[in-house]
Amino acid sequence: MADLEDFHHFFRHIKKSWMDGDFVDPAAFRLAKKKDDQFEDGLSINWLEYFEKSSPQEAIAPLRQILENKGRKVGGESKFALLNVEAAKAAASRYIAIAIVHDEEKEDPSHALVTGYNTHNDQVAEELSKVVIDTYPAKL
Amino acid sequence: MEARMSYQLEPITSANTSLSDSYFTVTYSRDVPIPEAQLVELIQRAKRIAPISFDNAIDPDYSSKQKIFDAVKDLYLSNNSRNRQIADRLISLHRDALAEDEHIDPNSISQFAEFFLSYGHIGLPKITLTPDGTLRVRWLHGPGNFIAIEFAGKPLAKVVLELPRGDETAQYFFSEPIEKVIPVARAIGASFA
Repeated sequence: MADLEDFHHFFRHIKKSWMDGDFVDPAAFRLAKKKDDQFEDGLSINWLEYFEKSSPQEAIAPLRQILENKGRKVGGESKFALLNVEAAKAAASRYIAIAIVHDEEKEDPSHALVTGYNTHNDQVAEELSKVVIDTYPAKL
Repeated sequence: MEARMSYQLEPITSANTSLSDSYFTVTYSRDVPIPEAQLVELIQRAKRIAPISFDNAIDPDYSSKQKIFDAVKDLYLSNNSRNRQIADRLISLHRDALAEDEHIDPNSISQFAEFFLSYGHIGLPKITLTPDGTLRVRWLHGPGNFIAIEFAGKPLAKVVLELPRGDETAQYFFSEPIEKVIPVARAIGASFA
């Protein structure tokens, strides 16, 4: 899996229940635990530049379609948080070095992962939440 | 006096779930009668918890629903306007979680409600659900200045605290017995306003 370029960006889908008003709980950036109590392989994200759009906003509709085709529920009041790769790595480095890699899936070619912070899950999640550039409604 | 009220629950239709009684009964004792208007409002709010089809209802969901009902009832009857806001938020979260295929940990709900019933004087926090299904609250006072408590439904609650220290930000991650979170955090400098 190839690293995303530092100057590139990624989206993280934020469910409505992970927000209170405009506040996004940093737990949205935590690695989830699977049924076997092991952490998931990485934080599931989507690579913005894959969509080749002139603005992040324009990438939202095709991204939402991809996620819905995968069977994911994308509620109308959920959002997509936008982060920069370099800023995310720098923020996490306060605790541990992370990797942000392209993890192309057949139905989701923009899929990517943030990996390497199982040992500092809560801490890195807090730091990632601090470098969110903007949030975009999943549905306008 | 003891008051008892019964009303029909929204039907739960699942081959895996059955109710021994199609009526849910709430019993409580108070020295004074609860005004009828307050009871009616409580029932209406509680019923809003269950407008969603439970075609796939399983026991954990049912348990969660019961815990939310209990929490909403207790918070709403506590004669504290902040607690009513919290009850309303809990109902919203429950609906959002169901719509998003998420769940709320029943043990987290109980711990959350007990905490706010015990501390009637602290401010209204941001209230969210974590991807693990636990309730989390956060009092935000500005960049690098907040306290967050996660109700894991276990004796130890998870706490994150950031405080300004001159030009730097002190950061704390710790676990404490839920009953000690407030005194410990306040000793460090946290505010729950």
